[in-house]
Amino acid sequence: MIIVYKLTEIQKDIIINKRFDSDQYFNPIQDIDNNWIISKEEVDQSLAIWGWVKNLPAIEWKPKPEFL
Amino acid sequence: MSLGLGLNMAKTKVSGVSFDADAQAFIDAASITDATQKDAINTLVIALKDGGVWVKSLALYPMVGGTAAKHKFNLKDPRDLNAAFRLTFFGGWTHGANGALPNGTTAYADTFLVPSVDIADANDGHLSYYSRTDNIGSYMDIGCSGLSSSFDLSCKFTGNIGVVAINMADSNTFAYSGTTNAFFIASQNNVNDVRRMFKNGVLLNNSSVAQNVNPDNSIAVGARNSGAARSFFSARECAFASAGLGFTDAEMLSFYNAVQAFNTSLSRQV
Repeated sequence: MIIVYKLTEIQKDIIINKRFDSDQYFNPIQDIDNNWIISKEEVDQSLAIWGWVKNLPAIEWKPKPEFL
Repeated sequence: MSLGLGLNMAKTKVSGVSFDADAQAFIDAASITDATQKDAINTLVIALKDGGVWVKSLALYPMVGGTAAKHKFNLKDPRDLNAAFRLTFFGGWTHGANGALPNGTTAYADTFLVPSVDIADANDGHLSYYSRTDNIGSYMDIGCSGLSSSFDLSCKFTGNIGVVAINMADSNTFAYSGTTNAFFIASQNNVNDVRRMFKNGVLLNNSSVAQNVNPDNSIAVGARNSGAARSFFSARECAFASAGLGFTDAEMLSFYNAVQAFNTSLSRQV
């Protein structure tokens, strides 16, 4: 089971395309239930200024189906 | 070029060791200090030039140095600019000595290389991905789509299929159940309608599919970029990636040999 971290719409708007470390940017996406989420890697690697993301609720990753 | 003074303008003298000037430029930009990595980069550049691969490549990402700050640079043009096709990493990548591992959920890197702008001929193009991971999933390892065309590569997709598309209305799929820890190259070399996939320098698939236009979105490493969104996030560790013009069979083999030797020097070959 892959764990991801759930954002509110407002939180998503705050972090989208913002740097979470010196050379990497947040990429919030929506799961199958249209929750906005970021990954464990983004949470773990984010700098201290983004401390609040480490308190986001953890949920199971449920991707939207994709087809070629 | 020689000035007759014992100086070779194509090389840079650094601490008694002469490096190719392009290799040195990358080493400087990426702040590579490890001697093994520096030697490997220099050998790689020379091999790519000797094999005819360098001149045909627009973006070469050696993923060397262990951090996003070093992995982002384009060996062909190591300026820290979008116009130099410098990578910008989004989402959850894990960077280390073996390369860059996307997480399969949110991670991709924008190359800023747009096929419709940067590759003149829709009949001419390549993508490559050196995967250190053997797995299967709905993963597009590198590519983009737009204008009803795809320009992408998947080492192996759900359903045991390989995917290769060089400016095609639909991704070309073929049955493939082999391993994915290898160097894959998708190429079209000015032969109308023919797309080819190579694995470790050996032809894996050769298909004839109707020609279409170059997509108008930038190529992503680790996903397919469709402009409005990214999809098919990969979970395969990348130890090299590239994009540019298509190759002959001889160039394809030279490319594999050069990249394999590079990764072997760094003790991360598969």
